Amino acid sequence: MALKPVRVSQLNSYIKRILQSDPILGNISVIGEISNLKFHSSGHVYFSLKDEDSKVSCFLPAGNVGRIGFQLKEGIEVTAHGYIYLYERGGSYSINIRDMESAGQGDLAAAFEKLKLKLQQEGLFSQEKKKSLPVFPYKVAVVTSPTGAAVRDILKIIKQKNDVVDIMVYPVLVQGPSAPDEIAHAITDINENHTDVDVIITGRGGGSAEELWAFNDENVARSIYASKIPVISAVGHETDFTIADFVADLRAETPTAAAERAVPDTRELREYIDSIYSENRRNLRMLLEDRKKHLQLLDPKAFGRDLQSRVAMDHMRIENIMEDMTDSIHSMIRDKKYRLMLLKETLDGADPKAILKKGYSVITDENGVIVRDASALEQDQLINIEAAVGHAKARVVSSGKDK
Amino acid sequence: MAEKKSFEEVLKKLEEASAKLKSEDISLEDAIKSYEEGIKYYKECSEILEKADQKIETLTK
Repeated sequence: MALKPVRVSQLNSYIKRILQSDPILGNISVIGEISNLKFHSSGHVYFSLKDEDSKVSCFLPAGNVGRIGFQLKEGIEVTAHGYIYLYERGGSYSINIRDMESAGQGDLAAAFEKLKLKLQQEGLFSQEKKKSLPVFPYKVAVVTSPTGAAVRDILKIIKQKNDVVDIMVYPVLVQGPSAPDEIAHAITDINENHTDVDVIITGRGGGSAEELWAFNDENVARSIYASKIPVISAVGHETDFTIADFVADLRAETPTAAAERAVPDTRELREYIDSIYSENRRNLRMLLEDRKKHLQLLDPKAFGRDLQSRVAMDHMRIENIMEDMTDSIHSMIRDKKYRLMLLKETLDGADPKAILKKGYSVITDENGVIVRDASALEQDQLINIEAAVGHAKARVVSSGKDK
Repeated sequence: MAEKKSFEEVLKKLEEASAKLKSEDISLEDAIKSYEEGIKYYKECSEILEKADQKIETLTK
């Protein structure tokens, strides 16, 4: 049973309603190659998406252009997200685009995120599993292209900084289909057959996302995780993050930075050691001097001298006491002698004989009694005269009171 | 010597004798006695020091 004929506009309106109410067509992603790219002065962008067999018109409103994270170019493959829109008046439909991405880029980014999430959940990025770098490595292995900028930078920096460490360049392809396996194998091989290696640097110089892709490989990530030797990743520039960077024990921003981090500065170390050495020498010499002085103090000769001077002091002391005593006894005797002499003089002064010497005489009566009153003498009485020299007997002629 | 007295002991006696000798009211007789004692103690002290000196000399040779 056919419907009665409808007008064109009715048809288009009907189709539009059908198209725009369809859940799939209302939110669809389409892969295709850009062609007939036109940038309208209004800011809207018009182009076609095509594959080998078909094409479809696309409309990118000016308001959505800012979202697109890449340069729109004729011929590139993109994935467009949007909905189907019918242009009633022309009876043609187009994709009204909300967002768009470069197809290859989208795949890579998705794969990257997927692998990153998977390995993260397995614990390959866990901080506790990270090995610390050796303070003084004797051998560094560099897993990279032997002709790239990275190996040149790494060798230059290490040689500048450190004249002790050995460097083993383990040549691998760092891009192309076989690169991931070569890198993974190299890391495993070093762990098995070059056990004297203390630290591994793996990486490459800057490049496009595709060129760095080997370092987003799962096998590379697992070989780094399994490595017993610490691994430093050094891929591209500071802004480039790869899976290898997340797994590595240390992520260096660039190959140059990796070299800086891998080895210590031997010149600085030598200076440091020299300073310790001379400080030790200085301290030891001081200690020795100190002990010598100490010993000198304990030298028996010096000790003996001290003792002798002590004895000498004691000698002097008893000498002084003795002298003092002798002085005392002498002065005591002298003093007594002096007093004796004074007494003698006094006695001498009182001796009657001393008066006689002055011309006086002592007269005594016959009984020897000193005559003190001459008037008491009688006539013819005998008296004794004693002068300073000699004596005489005499007879009193007369006597009386005063003349 | 019957008993060995230390230098310090003998020195103390010497000093005592000296002090006694110098006291104001000592009799001559006591003074002479003190002086004789002093000489005796002085000789003892001197002897001890002499011996010490010799010993040091011998030990530090």
